[in-house]
Amino acid sequence: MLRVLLYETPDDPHMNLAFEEALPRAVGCGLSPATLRLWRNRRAVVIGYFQRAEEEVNLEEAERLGVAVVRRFTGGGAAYHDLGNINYAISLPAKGQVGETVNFIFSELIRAPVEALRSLGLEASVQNVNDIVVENRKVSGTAATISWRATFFHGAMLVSADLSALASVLKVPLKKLIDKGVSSVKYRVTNISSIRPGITVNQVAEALASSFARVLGYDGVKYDVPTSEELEIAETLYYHKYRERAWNLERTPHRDFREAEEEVKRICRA
Amino acid sequence: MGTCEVKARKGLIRATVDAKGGVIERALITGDFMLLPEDKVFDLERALLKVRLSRDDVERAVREALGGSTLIGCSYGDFVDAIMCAGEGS
Repeated sequence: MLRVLLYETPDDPHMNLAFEEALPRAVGCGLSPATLRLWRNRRAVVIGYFQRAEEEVNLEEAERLGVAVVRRFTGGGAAYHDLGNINYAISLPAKGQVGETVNFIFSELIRAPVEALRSLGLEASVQNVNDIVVENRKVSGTAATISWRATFFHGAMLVSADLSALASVLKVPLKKLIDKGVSSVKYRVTNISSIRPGITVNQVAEALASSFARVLGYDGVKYDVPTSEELEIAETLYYHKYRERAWNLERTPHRDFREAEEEVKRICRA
Repeated sequence: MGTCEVKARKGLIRATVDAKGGVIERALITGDFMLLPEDKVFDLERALLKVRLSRDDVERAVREALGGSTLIGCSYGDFVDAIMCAGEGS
């Protein structure tokens, strides 16, 4: 059975992202088995590891709307999160060469969200390496890392999110819009509920859990709660990294958060 | 200080370069590209300091700093293009 966590802290996106990093760390050091997490933020923009907040986010508008800005540990682009968006994240023990694993992530693991949508009657497909599209509109972006001896893949799926808020807080470079042949990010992305009215976040979450289990060869899913070690790692990362301006707004690398690194290593060894 | 964006097959690479007298004094590589292990990007920024702003020298620095990394949907050449373009505009 695939372990599934529904653990989320929607009103504290920094903790949500700290827990997101805690899982691959716990899986990689053998404290936790392969785990799928499904979770939401109430209102946040999550930027990629290489991004600078000021380049990607209309910070004044985000503050006006009460949208927090949080940086994640994977590359890729900024994503707008609200309760109409479901996030999925799978952490597996790493094995094999990096190149083979990248291929596994973007040819096998990515089938899970695609097939979840297909099970709900949507003609979903992968476009441009890591985007999931339905009727030529992006409904989910994905990203991955191979770190801390874990293979990690996650994505954000728009079910019934506020696309006006998305368009007002995200700055999308003109080159990207021209490349996609659209004039605004609003015309490039869409909600699943716009294509399939009435569909809910819960239905999509259930489909994602079943689909990840199927793709990974499990018989089914087992819903679980976080272990004390997973929460301890998350709290360490939260206090020493994810609530820090240096992490979220100043694009500081992991290695500069020494207390976080040392404390997580200690928990892993204990 | 110059900034240049290069749209790779997957992802946008944005270089911000401060070059004085044809030598790079500061470089920042940002964007929504994907590269593993991620921290090689910070190694690249450090490796570019004091590098002469010529295509050969920049390409050598990029290849050395990013050597052994896995680039997803982008190439060494995309990084070189962005850095050269930003440096020439600085």
